[in-house]
Amino acid sequence: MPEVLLLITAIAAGFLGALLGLGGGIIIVPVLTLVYHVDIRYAIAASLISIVATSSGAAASYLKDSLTNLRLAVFLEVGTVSGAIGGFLLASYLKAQALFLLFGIFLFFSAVMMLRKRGDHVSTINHPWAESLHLDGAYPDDKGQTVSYKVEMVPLGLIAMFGAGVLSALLGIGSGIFKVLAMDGAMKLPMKVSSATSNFMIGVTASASAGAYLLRGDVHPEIAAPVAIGIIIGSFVGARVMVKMPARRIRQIFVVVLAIVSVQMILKGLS
Amino acid sequence: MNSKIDDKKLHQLELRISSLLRVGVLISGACLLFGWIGQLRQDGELLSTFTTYHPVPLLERMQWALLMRDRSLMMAFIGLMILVCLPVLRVAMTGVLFILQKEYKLGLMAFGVLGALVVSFCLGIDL
Repeated sequence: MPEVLLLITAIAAGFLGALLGLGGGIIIVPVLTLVYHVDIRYAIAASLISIVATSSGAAASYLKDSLTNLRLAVFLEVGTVSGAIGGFLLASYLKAQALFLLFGIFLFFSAVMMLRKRGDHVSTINHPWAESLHLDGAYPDDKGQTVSYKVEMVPLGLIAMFGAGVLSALLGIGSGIFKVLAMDGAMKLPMKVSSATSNFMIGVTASASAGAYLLRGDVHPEIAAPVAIGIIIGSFVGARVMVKMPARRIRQIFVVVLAIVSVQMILKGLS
Repeated sequence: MNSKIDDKKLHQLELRISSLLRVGVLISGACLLFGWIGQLRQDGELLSTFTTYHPVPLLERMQWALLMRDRSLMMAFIGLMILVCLPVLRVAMTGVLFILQKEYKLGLMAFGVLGALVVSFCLGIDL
């Protein structure tokens, strides 16, 4: 039965996503479109629902580790949610082929980003906006010592978040890669803080467009239910076994798979 | 020092809200699961019907489900609606927390995000 098979696929996607620190959208949209031949707009809407489910369910655990910068998250959500509105409006004018093409390019970019070496840094200069809103913070490092950090180039970060919101609504992804890139590269936040804050924000970004897609009729429970349930189960199991798995090797294999799928998506977009 | 104590308090309160959201996800997940199983038993294989794009507005589908007394579909839609509203609830409660902490600028921003979420949802309604 294809529905049950889809549930199993979603469990695998959630498991792999948790293992590699990715959202399920990057896996589930290509699977739904290329394997099950579901229309890409339904796939995107179903993927957003699963992102809301996983992010809302895990919000407490993101806060528990004291890495999430709550003030910064609320501030940057202004950018991501406005971007999501823009993305939803833009999606209404784009054809399915254009979405395939965009998704393919995004997958290829993600594959390249997964190969990137992550260097950590701590900024000591606060942007005036960060000073005014007290966006700087502190986090416990591996040795248990508190490390203070400041926040640079806040306006640029906000603009980048707008872009991340547009992509999230257009492609049904969490846009975590772009959020981390902006926080790490532009705002000079420590990598751990960037990742935790980005994960915390993803649910709100996704819900902006998921709600609109749901009301418009793009979300079908027949697709969204197995996808959301599967990804919740998969990510729950994945988060528990990730320490025992050779994540580096899996990441290398996944980069190759991602590159192949991206070419397939681009070809479908061009056809 | 005072600001640090406030931050810790804010963090703890936000943690409680997030734990509540987890319960919301479980409730919506249960609704989705029961709705989906009911639909599977009732209608069988449906996935192949979604290869072409024909959106039917949510309100229309819900009216249809009510009319046909399709409990499975209703339950699945209720699950979806709860799920989508959870982050909205989180933003609203965070806004209230900031206001209570006298962080008016951030409180205003949180309510701005809340307003944007409501606007975004409204964009999906075909008027």
